[in-house]
Amino acid sequence: MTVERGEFTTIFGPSGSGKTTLLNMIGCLDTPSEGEVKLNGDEVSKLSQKQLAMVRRYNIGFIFQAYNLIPVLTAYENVEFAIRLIDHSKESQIKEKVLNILEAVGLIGLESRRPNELSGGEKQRVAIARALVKEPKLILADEPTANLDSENAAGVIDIMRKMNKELNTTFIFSTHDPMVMKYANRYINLKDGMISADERRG
Amino acid sequence: MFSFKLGLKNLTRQKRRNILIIFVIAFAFSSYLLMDSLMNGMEEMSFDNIKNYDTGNIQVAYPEYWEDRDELLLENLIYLNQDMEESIKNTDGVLGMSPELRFKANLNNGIDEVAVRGVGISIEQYNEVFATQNFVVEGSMFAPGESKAVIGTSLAELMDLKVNDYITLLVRTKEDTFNTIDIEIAGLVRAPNPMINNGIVFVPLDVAQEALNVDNMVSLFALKTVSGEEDRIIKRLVESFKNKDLDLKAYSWKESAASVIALSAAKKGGIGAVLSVVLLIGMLGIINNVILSALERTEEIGMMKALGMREWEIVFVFMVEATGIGVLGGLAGCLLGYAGVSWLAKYGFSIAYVGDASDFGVPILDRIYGTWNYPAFSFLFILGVIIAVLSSILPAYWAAHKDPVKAIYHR
Repeated sequence: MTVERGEFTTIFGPSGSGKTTLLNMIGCLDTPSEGEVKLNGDEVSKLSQKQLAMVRRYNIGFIFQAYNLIPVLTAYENVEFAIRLIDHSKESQIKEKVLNILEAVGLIGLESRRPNELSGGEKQRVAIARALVKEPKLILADEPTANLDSENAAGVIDIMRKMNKELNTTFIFSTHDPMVMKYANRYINLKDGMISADERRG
Repeated sequence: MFSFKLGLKNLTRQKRRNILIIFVIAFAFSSYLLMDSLMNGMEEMSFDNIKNYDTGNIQVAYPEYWEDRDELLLENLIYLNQDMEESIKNTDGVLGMSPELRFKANLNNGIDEVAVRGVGISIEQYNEVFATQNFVVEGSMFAPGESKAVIGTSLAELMDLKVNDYITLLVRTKEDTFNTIDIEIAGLVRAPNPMINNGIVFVPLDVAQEALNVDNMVSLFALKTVSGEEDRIIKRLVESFKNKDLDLKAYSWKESAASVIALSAAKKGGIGAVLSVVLLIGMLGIINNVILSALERTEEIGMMKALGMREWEIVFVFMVEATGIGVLGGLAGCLLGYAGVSWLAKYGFSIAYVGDASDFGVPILDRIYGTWNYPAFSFLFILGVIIAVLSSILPAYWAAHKDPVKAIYHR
């Protein structure tokens, strides 16, 4: 399976079909027992844990179903956390980047709130901003709308789609939600760990 | 720097647990500081009480007498002569000199008899060296030329004696014949050194010399010197004795304080054991906290790994948090310790709670006052922080070493 730069790809399939495992391997969190994973043409499945951490740090953003925000940090700080790992610019430049991305996901005005003061949709938007702020080549989202109602889910997908178009970031996300699937321009169906369908749209 | 900030912010999570650990560390640290203050106070007071009421800073005697000094024998005594006395008195650093004739006696009040230590003193010289006169609670010290005695309050109570009562001291002369000293009590003394109160009878030197038939002889000279200069002054005295062809030797007060010094050494061991327990408590608290935090934050650790944080960076976050707890616990412990030591230094600790301290060889009467040991505060604080950092490393590595997939999905 090859994913091109800027693709907005959804991986669909029943529970246990291997969606999360596939995402984890693409995201260098897990290594395949067989076969290989290439990122930007470079083989990554044989890299050490340290090297994999560096690949994730500079190239990949993650969005989780449970948001995984740090509760003691504000929305701003949760986003800042990700960029501080790779960018050692001046405080003012970091601030500009973080506020820009928060504005892009519609969270300006909420930046000093902690996760417990945000709705589910807002939390997921913080998570998206955190994944996007370092402008990675690839964003992996594991069922990003599973914990959201349909309105918030649509909002989150809209933002992801917008970022995909504006920044040409590659998105791969898994979902059960047929509503989410329709936004994707590539659709991969998994069954028992195998790709049973791979379609590109428009 | 952001990891540092995150570590500090994490201190605000699980407030109750963190406060409990901080409190436990503070309690352990302050207990150590209080114990250290009391022990040092006891040591200092014991040494002062030995120097100020029993031995002086230095004692001069013949080595043969010194070896058996506890036997209070009337052998190997020093024959007083002006030249020798002047020579000792004029030694640089010597502030006072008291000749003493120490002897065994039985004190008889007409009904009962008890063994005591008689001490013949020249009152003016004695007062230059010892502070006993400040603790006369009834009557007074006898005046020069007056033939009276001074005894301790405990001995007076035991023998039912009062000021102006007469006592009889049964003694053996140098020739081993019996003799008695019938003498009126001039004063009762209650000195901080319980030995003075319990079993010593002070009589004028000439009275003792006559009763013991030792002519113009004394057992030893007790010297008051500049404090802390004892060793240097002893060297000077020994040199001077050599030049005058005298066999006399000079001995530091420490040689008469063997039991207290042994107790002091035991104290250091005890303090070391207490310190180990204190640090162990701190370590267990920190380790427990890091493990619980790691278990509670498994998904967060997974997220950090997904963000590309390396293990040592995650370890650093936990270490900052543990260090924060160590610093807060240490500070709180030092503050509590400061308050406690202030109280102990001002009001002291009544040893009546633990019985008679002299039973344990501690020459202190009523209260032990704490002393300030500022280095102990900084030492404990720094050691506490180091222990907090070190004890957090292993559990933090355990946390950071989690498989990212298992951590993210909490499997």
